[in-house]
Amino acid sequence: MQDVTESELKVLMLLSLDGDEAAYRCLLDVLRDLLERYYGRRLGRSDRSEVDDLVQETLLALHQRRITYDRDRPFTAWFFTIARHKLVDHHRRTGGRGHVGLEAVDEMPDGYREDAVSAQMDIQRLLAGLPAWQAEAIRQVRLDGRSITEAALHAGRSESMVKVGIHRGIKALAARLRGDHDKDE
Amino acid sequence: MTKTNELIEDLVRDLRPVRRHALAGLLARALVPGMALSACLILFGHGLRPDLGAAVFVPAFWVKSAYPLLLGLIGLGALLAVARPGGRPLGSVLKVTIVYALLAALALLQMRDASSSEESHRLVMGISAWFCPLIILATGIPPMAATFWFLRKGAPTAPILAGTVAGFSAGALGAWIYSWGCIENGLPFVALWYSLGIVLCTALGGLMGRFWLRW
Repeated sequence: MQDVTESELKVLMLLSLDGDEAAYRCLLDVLRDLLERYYGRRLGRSDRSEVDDLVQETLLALHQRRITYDRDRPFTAWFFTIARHKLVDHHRRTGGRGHVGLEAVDEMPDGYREDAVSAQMDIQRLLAGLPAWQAEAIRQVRLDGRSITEAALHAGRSESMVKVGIHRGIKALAARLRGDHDKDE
Repeated sequence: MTKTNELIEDLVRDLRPVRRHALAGLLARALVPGMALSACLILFGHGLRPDLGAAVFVPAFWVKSAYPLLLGLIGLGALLAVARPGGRPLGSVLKVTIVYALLAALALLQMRDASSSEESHRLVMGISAWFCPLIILATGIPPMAATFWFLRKGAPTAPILAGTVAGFSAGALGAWIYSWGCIENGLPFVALWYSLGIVLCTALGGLMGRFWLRW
């Protein structure tokens, strides 16, 4: 699962904020797994239904409050602050039952602290698996916020080719993440 | 498991794009009706100050108006920070201190230049000292509804802090609106009684945050 990095999740989040459903589904699937392990470790595996509830609440909170994500900051730091908030709230409601200790609440899951992840914000690596022109189109349009027209001019291709390229690139990307993800199970 | 799958499908179906500055846009959309309501309260319930035409040539009038406006803008910046998970508006405390220190310095200058003890008394107490904090509390309520509505759509992880910031911003903006109706020209008056009104709103906000900003 360490295959899924900050940069990959961030790209998926940015695509989701632009309304890309495939990327969003992929993001939620990956996060669901991360959350199951995050809460599972902190509540004890026996509390299966509580873990499920928390996972669902957190995904819902991500959805309803995604307007508060700052595109210029790391995604996982934002996301796990929400997850941690839900965990603290859970402990508050259950009166601290099953308290694993505050140090467990405080700790971010392995390698997802803001300082650790900033270092590996390497979107190049993620896009490297795609054909160069597709990667470039995704970078320009989806990450840098340029128009399709500009990207088409830059690539010397038609606008519809650029759109198709972006679409295929994202599908490939989602499939790759999905693959990594399933192998891990 | 399957319930989570269903939830994910529901969320994907409900996906709408979010623009880059959507959070600031949301705050603006909340504030317009709140500020408008507060302005109506002053315009129709209290009235603009009768000597407004002359007052605009008095520097103290502009200082009195700029003070709460600056605090309000600092508050709105802090509000955008606390609306995000883990947001801590640390720089804002320093900015507020600087603005208050400037006002206090100008107030002392004004006191020094006062020609009589009656004038000094008027600069500090005005004719409406007891009334001012209360009307600022009242003009702060509509913006406070706006800032709370905004925060409830945000993701504040420290409810009391977030409520305090929401109350402070609303109080400062309410005080700014009231500054157009208030007849006082004394800066010591502003430093004391305007600030007290804003503090009341701030405390109310913190209290409300405790109950209304949990999620």
